[in-house]
Amino acid sequence: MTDRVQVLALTGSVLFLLFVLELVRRRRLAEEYSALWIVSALALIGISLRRDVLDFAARWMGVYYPPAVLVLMLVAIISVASLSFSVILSRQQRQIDRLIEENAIMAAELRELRWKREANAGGSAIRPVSEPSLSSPIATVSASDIVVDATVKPRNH
Amino acid sequence: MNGHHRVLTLIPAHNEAASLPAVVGELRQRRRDLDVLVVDDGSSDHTTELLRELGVQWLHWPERRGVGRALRAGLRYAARQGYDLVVRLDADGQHHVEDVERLLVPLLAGRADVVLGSRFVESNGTRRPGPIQRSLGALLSMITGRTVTDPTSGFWALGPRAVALLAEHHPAGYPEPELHLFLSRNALRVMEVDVQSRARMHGRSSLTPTRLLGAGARIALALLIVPFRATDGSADD
Repeated sequence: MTDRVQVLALTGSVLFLLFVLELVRRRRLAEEYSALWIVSALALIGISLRRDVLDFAARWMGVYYPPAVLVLMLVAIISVASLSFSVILSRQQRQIDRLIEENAIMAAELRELRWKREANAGGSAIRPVSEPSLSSPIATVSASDIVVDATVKPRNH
Repeated sequence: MNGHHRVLTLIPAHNEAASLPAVVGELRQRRRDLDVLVVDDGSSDHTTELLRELGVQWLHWPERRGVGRALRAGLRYAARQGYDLVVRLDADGQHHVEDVERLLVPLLAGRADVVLGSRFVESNGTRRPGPIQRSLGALLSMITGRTVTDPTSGFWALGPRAVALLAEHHPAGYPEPELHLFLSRNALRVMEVDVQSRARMHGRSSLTPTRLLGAGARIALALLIVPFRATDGSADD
């Protein structure tokens, strides 16, 4: 029993899977984050091919309208995806925090070393009231100075 | 009196150019034995330029990240540089430098890992915490099993064990109440001592009603979660 909705669902799911794989191939999507989408796409293909699975699941769950199970499934996929984004976001925030702090500490250590070196080189032994301007570019770079052009991609020929 | 101990004074600062020089000046005048580290948390006034003239050590980053993260970075610096003891006080000048000694004494005697300066210790009945602080204090007392009279105090001193632990896990965000939970969860010996406080020199308290509400939500979550964390607070992954 092939009908229009089945053809549409199958086409859509396959295109979705190909799109995900293409993103991975072009390194726009990291392998580690692609698993969820690939599994989801395969599940959608499976259901498009065998609609009786959906009917069976609906009967088992006591749902009278089988397409509602499909919607439920999509909601579940999106919820899992969102939650995993939050986990990834938290991990990245932790990493960024760490980097900012390490960078600030290293800038301070570098400053101290310069002070010490100047003191040893015959300067005064106390910390100078003003330091040479070269000792702070790392620490004072502001967010607006950093240009990240996401549109420029390395190309393989 | 600090003997062979190395003590770092940690001052988190966000836009405190108006009061920071006076605070550092007072420290320099009264406690020459203490090194000073200012953690400049993305100030947009001239705090950053000021640091060079104050003759202190400092950490700086361009965007504001919150006092909790500023303190964690400062503690990490202290641990890295081999400081045994760390005193934290506010850049707004509300804490008295002469009280630093009262915070350090129990640490030097090995009687505590953490000494919290409290503005509302029972023995001095002149100052009273507001209703929010009192209920927060009561709640924290109940959970930690220790009397918390000043849950939002920003004046404290840490011994070596606390420095090492908090350099990795000082709570971020609005950290003072969460700190109590963390200390109790990690079985650090905490002590309160009576300290004075005066009106801040410049600017206003960072506690706006909106922030207070956000802080309340965070604390409620921390109350639920922190007691069940692994004891050093590290992530499980």
